[in-house]
Amino acid sequence: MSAVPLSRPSRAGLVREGGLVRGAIAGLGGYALGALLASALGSAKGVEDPTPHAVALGYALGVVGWIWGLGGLDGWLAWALGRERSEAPAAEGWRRYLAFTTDHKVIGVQYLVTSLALFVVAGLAGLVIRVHLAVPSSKILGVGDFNTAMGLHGTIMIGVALIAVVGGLGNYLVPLMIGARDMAFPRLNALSYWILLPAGLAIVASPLAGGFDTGWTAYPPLSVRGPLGQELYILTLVTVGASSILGAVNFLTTVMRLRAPGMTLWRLPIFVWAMTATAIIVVIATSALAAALTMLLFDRLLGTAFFDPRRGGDPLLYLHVFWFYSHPAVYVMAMPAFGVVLDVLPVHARKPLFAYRLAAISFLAIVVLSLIVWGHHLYVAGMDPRLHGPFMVLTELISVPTGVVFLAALGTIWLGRIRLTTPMLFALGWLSNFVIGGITGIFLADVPTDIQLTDSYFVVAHFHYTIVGGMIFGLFTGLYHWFPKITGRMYDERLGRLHFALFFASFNLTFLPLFWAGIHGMRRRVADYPPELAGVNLFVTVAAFAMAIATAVFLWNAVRSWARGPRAAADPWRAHTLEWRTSSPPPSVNFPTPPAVGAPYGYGARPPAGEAAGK
Amino acid sequence: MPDGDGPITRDTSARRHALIVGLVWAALSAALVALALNVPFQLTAASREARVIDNAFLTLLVVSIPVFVLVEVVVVYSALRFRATADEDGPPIAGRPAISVAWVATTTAMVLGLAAFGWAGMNEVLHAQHPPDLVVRVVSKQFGWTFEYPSLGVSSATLRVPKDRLVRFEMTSSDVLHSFWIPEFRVKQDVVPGRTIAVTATATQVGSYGVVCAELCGLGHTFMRAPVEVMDQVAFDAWATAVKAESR
Repeated sequence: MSAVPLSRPSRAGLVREGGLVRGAIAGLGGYALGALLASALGSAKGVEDPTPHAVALGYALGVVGWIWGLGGLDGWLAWALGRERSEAPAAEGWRRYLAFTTDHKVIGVQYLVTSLALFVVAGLAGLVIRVHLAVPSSKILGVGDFNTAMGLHGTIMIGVALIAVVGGLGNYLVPLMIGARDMAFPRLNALSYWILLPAGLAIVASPLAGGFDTGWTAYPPLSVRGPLGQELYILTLVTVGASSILGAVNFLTTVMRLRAPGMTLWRLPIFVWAMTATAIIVVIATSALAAALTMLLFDRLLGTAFFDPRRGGDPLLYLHVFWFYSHPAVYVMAMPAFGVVLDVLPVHARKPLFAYRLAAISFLAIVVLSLIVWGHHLYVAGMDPRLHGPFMVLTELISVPTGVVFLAALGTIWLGRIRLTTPMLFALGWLSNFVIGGITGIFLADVPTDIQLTDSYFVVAHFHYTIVGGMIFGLFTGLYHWFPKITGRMYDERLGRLHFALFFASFNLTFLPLFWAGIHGMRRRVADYPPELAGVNLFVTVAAFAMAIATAVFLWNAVRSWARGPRAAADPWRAHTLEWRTSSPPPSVNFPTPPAVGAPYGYGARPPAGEAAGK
Repeated sequence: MPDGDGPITRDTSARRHALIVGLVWAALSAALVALALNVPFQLTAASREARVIDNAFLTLLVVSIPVFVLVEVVVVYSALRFRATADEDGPPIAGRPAISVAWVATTTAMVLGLAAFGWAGMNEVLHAQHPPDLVVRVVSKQFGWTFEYPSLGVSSATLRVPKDRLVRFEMTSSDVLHSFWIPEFRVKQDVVPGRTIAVTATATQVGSYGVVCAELCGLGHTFMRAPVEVMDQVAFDAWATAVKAESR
């Protein structure tokens, strides 16, 4: 971190100009100020131990200081004060990735690299869990450490799943795909990325503050009583939620206002449709997460009793509000991946996207349905039983629009001219895995079977098939497909195929047996299991290590190809969407001359390209 | 694809592909359904509810298999048979309205059918047919269970229930959320502080089982379990008499 600002011209420049050093100093300063303020207030009010209050206020002011220090407020401040401001020359080369930069392509890469780093951290936490569970009666971790590893793995992976495709590929691709120069609100875009770093720091540091033993769902009353680490969890998720909302507003405005002339709604690449639908969910539902977590924080810090039954509160209130966001959040993770896969398949199958408009409409149907199905998480939670039936019907109905995604995918590859490139392999792997995630979802939507399967490893297997099988496979599809566009270099195809083969096989070997463990009564979130489940657990632990090796192959390929891969042409795949109508990587203005807008998936010999799809 | 580009040859070859995939799909689906119906893979079923739930599971599995096989067969077949041999594009098919309509209609019908079936199963599992033969109060706290029998005036660390009797479990928690799960009974219910929540179950098989906590409740969650004994009525009555005599 220190190498960058040291190369700046003068010491005075360090403070006058925003950057990582000024950001770190101001962030720490903000934290100290907030912590002192809260401590002083706390002692004045006679609070026994004001540490939690100090951390909360310190965190809030620390984030503000960090953003100001980075230079994130400079533009707005100068404007508000009526001060002349010459735009600082944008950093060049790799340094721009370490600066508060408004170029959506830089922000996209920042999101991608950050997500991959967090993916590795959370993956390692997952391996720690699997090592502990390799044999029954394991003493490798204490129960507290086990719960913390599990909570960290879950919470960070949820964060990765929420930001990697949306923040990474979404930021990079949406403006390019609609022929825009940047996002509608570039500074807001940078802000939504940079506030995530303190959140990442807080969650990674939470084990130092006692960790949290509630898993990623943080159900009260346990979470109200938890250690300081629980508070860091709350602050992290509130920040991620705020960042999501800022990003979603930006995407919606960008797609509505900045489309190039000729880019009608029904010429939008399906990925843009997916991002638009996702952004609508985020805008509607994320504030519910903020509400649930804020109530939790108030119960912990200010003596409110939203969830305390002894004082008139109700833990079930938290479950309802939490899942009102957290079920739609599954579609915030999955739907952009649907978009990636449906966008990649036509290119490598050389056919128009099948039933393009129906697929786009299905995304909108998913938006509506995703908001009214949360109750299926509460069948055994003590919810009024009259609600079980309606929630069951609505939840199962969401299979219909999701089924259309499969129709579009299968219809596209059928009779195609398929090139089995690495992105195509991952897209086909996505289809193969996500159908398992979708089908097993029916077992958990169905009230009778859910009674037995909920809170068992069946659920663990199911959501890994939806989030890894659905979202992470979509992420890899997109990363390989757009690698030449983003980096200007080709990845190594042989390493890519090796990554696919290893990852696909080890993923299925890891998670398919867990359905069996769940059917046989293995509870989720336990540090021990009955001896008769020893075989399946050992097997799964070994397979999980193979997943780690596969991921290492990917990282090696990505780093090496980015540094030394062969130069990529502007359009190596002969694709039809607009991001390929500019150089690889694109110049900072994206399109030096306005691109001609045609149909996004006009593949096929007859009629001539450009008129076949999305007319 | 080996054949040329005349519209007639393409049509026949498309039909041939569809026929092959259809046959493979039917054969594989039938084989997997036969496997699912004939290989017992479920946990011991020791209650009336367990039979309903296992039946529901098996039905969902049988309906799922053709869906799963369809996707996998089309993916694998396409990856094998539709490989590009030259730098050419596929046919410009952007959709087939009839197929889309059929697809949406079929999935909708399947889903509604499954939901109706689930609704019936739910009524059978969740709504007791008659008043309970025995009430057990389940008191849960970090990290253990106590079972009180108000009609007998005794309490126990082991959950003992008579066979073939409708038992109503009335649950309370004095601290955080717990969940009362007897895997062999297929009975699971969260216990929420501040509420009394009841579920019913009828054990049908004498034997030793276990009740575990299924809702993460803190450091001792893993070890929050208690033994369950299903006894015939005579043995159960003998136990109740013995415990009452002891406590006097």
